[in-house]
Amino acid sequence: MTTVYLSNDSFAYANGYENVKRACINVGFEYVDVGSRGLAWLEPLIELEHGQDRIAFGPIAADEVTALKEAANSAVTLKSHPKYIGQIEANEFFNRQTRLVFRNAGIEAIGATPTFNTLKANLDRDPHALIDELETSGLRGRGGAGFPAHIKWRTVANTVADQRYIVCNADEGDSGTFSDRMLMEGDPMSLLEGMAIAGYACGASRGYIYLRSEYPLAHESLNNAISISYKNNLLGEKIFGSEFSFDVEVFLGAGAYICGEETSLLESLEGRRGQIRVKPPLPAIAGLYQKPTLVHNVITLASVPSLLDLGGENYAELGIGRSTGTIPFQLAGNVKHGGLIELPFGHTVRELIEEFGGGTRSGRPFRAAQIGGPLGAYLSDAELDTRLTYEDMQGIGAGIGHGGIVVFDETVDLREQSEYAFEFCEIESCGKCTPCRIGSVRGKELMQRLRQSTNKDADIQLVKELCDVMEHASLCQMGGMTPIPVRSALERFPEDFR
Amino acid sequence: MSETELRELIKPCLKLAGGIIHACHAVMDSIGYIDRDSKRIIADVFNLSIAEVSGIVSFYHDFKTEPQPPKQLRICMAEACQANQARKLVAAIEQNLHTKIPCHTANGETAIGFTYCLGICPNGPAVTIDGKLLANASATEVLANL
Ligand SMILES: Cc1cc2nc3c(=O)[nH]c(=O)nc-3n(C[C@H](O)[C@H](O)[C@H](O)COP(=O)(O)O)c2cc1C
Ligand code: SF4
Ligand code: FES
Repeated sequence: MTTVYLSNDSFAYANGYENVKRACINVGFEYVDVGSRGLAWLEPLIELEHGQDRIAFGPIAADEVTALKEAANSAVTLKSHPKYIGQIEANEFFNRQTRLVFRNAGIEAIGATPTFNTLKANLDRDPHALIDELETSGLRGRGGAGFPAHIKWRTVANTVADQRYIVCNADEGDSGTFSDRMLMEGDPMSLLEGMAIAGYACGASRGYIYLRSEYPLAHESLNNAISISYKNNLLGEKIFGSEFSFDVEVFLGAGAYICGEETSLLESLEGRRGQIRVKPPLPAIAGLYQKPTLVHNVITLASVPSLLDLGGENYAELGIGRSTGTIPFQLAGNVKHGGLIELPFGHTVRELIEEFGGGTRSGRPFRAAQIGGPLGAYLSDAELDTRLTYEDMQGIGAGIGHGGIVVFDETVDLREQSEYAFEFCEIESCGKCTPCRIGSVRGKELMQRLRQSTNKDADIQLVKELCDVMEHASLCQMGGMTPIPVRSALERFPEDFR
Repeated sequence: MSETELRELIKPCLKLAGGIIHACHAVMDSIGYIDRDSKRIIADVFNLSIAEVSGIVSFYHDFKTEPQPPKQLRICMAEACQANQARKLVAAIEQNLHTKIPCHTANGETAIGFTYCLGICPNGPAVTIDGKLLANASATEVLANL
């Protein structure tokens, strides 16, 4: 019997996974569902066990599976299959990466019996020593703001309370990002283990995963992983026979980008409208039900097991300056080879787009890239040699955000994109403060007017003033950062507004 | 669904964090929308005013207060899909149907609306048809599915 590993990630589903799976069953393959390796243009990807190796084929169509079965016995005929890729570990999109957070995704069967070895190895450590190690590692939040993780952990741990919470932010609303989704679908155990370790270090016994409703496969995968973990006493009472108990449940959002902002998320998790809370108090001091709450992105929490296995000092060796470790970048939009690229900080945007991405998918010349989601800056070719570190990106008025890079070819119209930036803010504003609630509408109208305005200079000046007001007077970064894509477009692509 | 059944459906949500959101999901899943009667019952179970429940229902894009057509088509209009010509896809569909999206098809069978990122951003334009993801969507393919 030949074993095949079939990616059942959303990428694969969207490209015909179900038919391929049926074909695999029909030809008598023993198939194992695995997460995605992150080579999105090759999905559905199938890997065939061949001796010690796994040989990949993709994007595989259902009617190509029979030929695969016939060829399965000889390395020579395998090579002549039209969708032959070879070993993923030898593929240059993959072999230049440093996979830490994504060390398991696509390799182990999803939901295979978890071990939580890292949790086990750290359960006899002093929680404060664990936080010290996190500090040594220099890990910063991967949700967007890049805030040092250890400061939050220590605050939660040191705030006196009868209950503390770990909240995983799985609202991943930024366009061009999908690393949270891939991790939850393909390796949910690493997230659960990371949450449990955080729970142990911070003295929290309860965790919630706030998941966006657009991710039904991740929902299924998480619930499945949680139930397996309980069955194996890796969650619940007295884990590994220790005094530590930890419970996790998934909370399904209901379609609201703003609920990715941590205070809005907490409001929603308490069963209210997802409106922003005024900070302070910080969630680490008074968060969910006013108790100390550690809110972290999926990738931040899922980084913890591999970081501890590697050791804080070794982790800090990766990356540059205060941007330590690896981050899973997500290359998307109009790019030939898009997908997940986990790298240490410090590579340039150009390397990602040109060397990993292979240029635009359309074949037309590159024109712009938006980094860090809908609130991120547009870059032109002139900025592509900027290194991807928190500091370098800040230097050009941009941010890494959650690591999404969206590529546009020459057909992009930056006036249209700026109109959309305001429109998105209008659609998703929580409505609590005026600069954002009203400013977004006025900004959209101004951008529409600019199409055939008779006084473009005055209108552009007005847009700039509006951006100033939104930046300085908005209560949260939704209104406060909407000016970033707009200003970057105005500055780097002025011809589109003429 | 009778009032008693509805109460039984949402009562377990009382124990959960953010139970009212769970309850709204449950009503959406079983009835398809949340009308005034359902709001009244949710309000009663959760000991809130109908206004408070209305406030919650209206905040979240997933919750609808009107009956929905049996089929749902959602087109991703976020940046990565725009980069892969989602606007052209929308224009082609609108032209074929002689209407502006968001809309219901003339036969009332399908609701067509926008969504913002489905998480398959290198494979756009992305759409979902009754929750099923479709990558690299073309107008022909989408129209054939209506
Ligand atoms: C409008 C807005 C949307 C956000 N959306 C997300 C999101 O989808 N996922 C996320 O992890 N963080 C999001 N954030 C950042 C969170 O507020 C918060 O900083 C983050 O969850 C902290 O986790 P980290 O320390 O791991 O980065 C958003 C922030 C803003 C202002
Ligand atoms: S900036 Fe927008 S999203 Fe943030 S609090 Fe104000 S209205 Fe709400
Ligand atoms: S932007 Fe369309 S799927 Fe992400």
